[in-house]
Amino acid sequence: MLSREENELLTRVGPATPMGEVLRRYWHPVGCSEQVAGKPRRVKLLGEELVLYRGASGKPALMQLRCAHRSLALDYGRIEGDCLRCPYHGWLYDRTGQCLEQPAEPEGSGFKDKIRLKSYAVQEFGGLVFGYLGPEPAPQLPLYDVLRMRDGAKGVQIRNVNANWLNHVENIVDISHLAWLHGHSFPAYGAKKVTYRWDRRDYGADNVMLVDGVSDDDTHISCYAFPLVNRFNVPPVTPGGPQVRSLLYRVPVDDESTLLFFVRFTPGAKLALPVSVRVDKPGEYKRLDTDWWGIDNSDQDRMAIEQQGIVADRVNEHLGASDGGIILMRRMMRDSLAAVAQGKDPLCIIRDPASQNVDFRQQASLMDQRQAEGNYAGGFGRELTAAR
Amino acid sequence: MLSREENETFTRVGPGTPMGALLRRYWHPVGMSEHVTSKPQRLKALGEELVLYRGTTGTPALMQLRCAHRSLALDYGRVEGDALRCPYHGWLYDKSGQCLEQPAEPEGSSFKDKIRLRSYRTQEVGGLVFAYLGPEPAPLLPLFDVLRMEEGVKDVQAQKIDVNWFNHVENIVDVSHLAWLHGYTFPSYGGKKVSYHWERTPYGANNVMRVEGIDDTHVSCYGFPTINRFTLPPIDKSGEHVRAMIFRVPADDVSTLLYFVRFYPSERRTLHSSRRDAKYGEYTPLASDWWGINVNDQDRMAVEQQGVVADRANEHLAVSDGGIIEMRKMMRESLAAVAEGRDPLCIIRDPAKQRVDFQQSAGSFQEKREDVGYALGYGERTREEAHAK
Repeated sequence: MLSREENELLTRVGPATPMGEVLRRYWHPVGCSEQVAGKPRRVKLLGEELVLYRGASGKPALMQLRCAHRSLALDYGRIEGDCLRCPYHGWLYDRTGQCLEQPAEPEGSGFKDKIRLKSYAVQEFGGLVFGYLGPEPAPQLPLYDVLRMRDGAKGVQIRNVNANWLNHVENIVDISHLAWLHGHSFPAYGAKKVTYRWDRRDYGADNVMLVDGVSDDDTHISCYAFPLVNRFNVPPVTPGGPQVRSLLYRVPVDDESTLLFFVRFTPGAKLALPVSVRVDKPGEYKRLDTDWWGIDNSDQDRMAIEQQGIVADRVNEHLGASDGGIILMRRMMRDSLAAVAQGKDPLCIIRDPASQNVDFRQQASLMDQRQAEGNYAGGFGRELTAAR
Repeated sequence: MLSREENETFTRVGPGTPMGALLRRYWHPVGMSEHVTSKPQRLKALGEELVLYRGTTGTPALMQLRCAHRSLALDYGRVEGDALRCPYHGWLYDKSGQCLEQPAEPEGSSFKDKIRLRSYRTQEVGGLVFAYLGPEPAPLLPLFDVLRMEEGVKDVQAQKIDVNWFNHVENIVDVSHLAWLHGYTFPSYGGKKVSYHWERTPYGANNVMRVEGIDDTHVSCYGFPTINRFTLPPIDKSGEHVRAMIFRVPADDVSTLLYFVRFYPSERRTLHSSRRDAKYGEYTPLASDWWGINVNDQDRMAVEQQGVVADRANEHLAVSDGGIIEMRKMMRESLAAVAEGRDPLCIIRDPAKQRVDFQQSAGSFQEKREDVGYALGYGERTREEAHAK
């Protein structure tokens, strides 16, 4: 149970909010490499409106959305070389946000030299474009195992969730929902007697699920990469094949909406799938009549997260022993808030290049038993078949 | 004219507000019997989010919408016997809201015994499910005449409108609008010189309308605090007037659920329940009407277009607004009674008084237009049904 004040503290991410400050110390996906081409793209992250484009240098540029002159959104602008021109009065900005031209101003005016848009550091890796909105020096970009996987088929799905990001992050460490919300899909643990444990790791924490009558070798482990990422597996695309390695990034768009970057990889034929974008409406979930709750696996988490309320009212919650993961995660958030307030790095920041590769201890053999019907990994199987 | 403070007092109904405490002393409809099934449904009443379902015992269960664990909305849950299971982690609640199971908690844990959702009593009569959200002992559910009518064609329609409930209650006792807002539809008083008076009754008040040149009077009835009873023109050749009641349920401070019950005697015995939510600012047009709006939607136009919560600091009431002044007086008396721990007005505790008959009379006022759709499609639907048989 949280006080109303602490619920506000933990959920609000706009500029100058304490949690906004913490989350600005990490790299976040702002798009997929293949999407950043041609027209400038509008994006929103941590309550900030931004524009993302790729100019002649080939390196994505990320800056404030609105022209400093009269606030026009620059995704309506034109890329010129490595620069971006506003369509309203022709102001031209370079990739650092520095204004280079103001065609209507008098010859010799020094006004343009004083104008600079906010701009941010960008990196590309594994098909994703990451942005860093915090203070310099930026930490290392964590190179998670799924991002580094090469010999196989990789796909990225971008999805929206109409809820605050913390609802979604709690769902990572809330593993006791697996046996119920997803219980129909996975008979090895559906409605079974399960005990739960959480182990702190350098990258965050491991969620450990011990099912009655299941050997230690088959202990189910999913991983939480602090603060917004998780690593897990989903069932094979074809029966008996390798499980799908999955990594899910959550990006707080603002206080009431979240964007997911769902990276999926299956070993085998080398294949880069086109980026898929799925736009969902709150309260509308893909139906599956045979499921316990009448909702397809691919939409069960979204239902749970949206139907807690857009920003869950944690004043009315009642956490039990099986909610230890939520309690641990909130402690990590509080530790990180305190660290940033004292000018220190929050948890799980990587500064040593030798620690940049991050491998997870993920394990999911229990998922090999699953219902035939249902839409796993956001339709990865179908995407794969289509790409072949 | 009200002070801004008193306008707030009259209009706000959430938990902990004075008017919320007052309205919680009455039974309110929360659903239509035909629509309450083992599929749980979400609703809102007096600012509270609730879930309603019918388990194996048959009596509708009503409790807080959100699971006590992690706030999931229980209309996504599953009814098991008479209990309701949350899909997120499988917590199971009985119809009193008591938690019975928490599958993920350690064997022998007593945590579940400490968890109980808020739950409320329900009763069913005449096609509606009524709930009581106030302190015990609950008063008797008034058995209004239209609810008790069974030998004929009954229609129950729920409609959500995006406006504060008090705008809509004022419209009941504001009878001087009949001759103007609905004036085209009813030529016997439309645009005529009319005088008005109001009489208090055990159930609330009678609105009395006397039209120059007509001997009898037109009486419609106010069931305090949120109900009215009136008559609509006949919809078929039987010539039977339609007996009508409207229950208003404040969903929250900016939206209201109307439960519109209509009945006329017939050899056919039918019950039809439907829901028809309204869009703010969109009204069925009728070009021939004085105001270009069909009578079905004229009241809604009037209550919506006063502002979602009418700003009564800027109103100017006159002699013909006596009903509004009387109604507010009744509200003030009731607020004072509740504050002193007494029953507010029109609460029934004596079983001999549970049946409520209204002194409604439309007398010789039934001249009407033929190009108008009356009573939200009731006529069209019953004619179609009769034809199908």
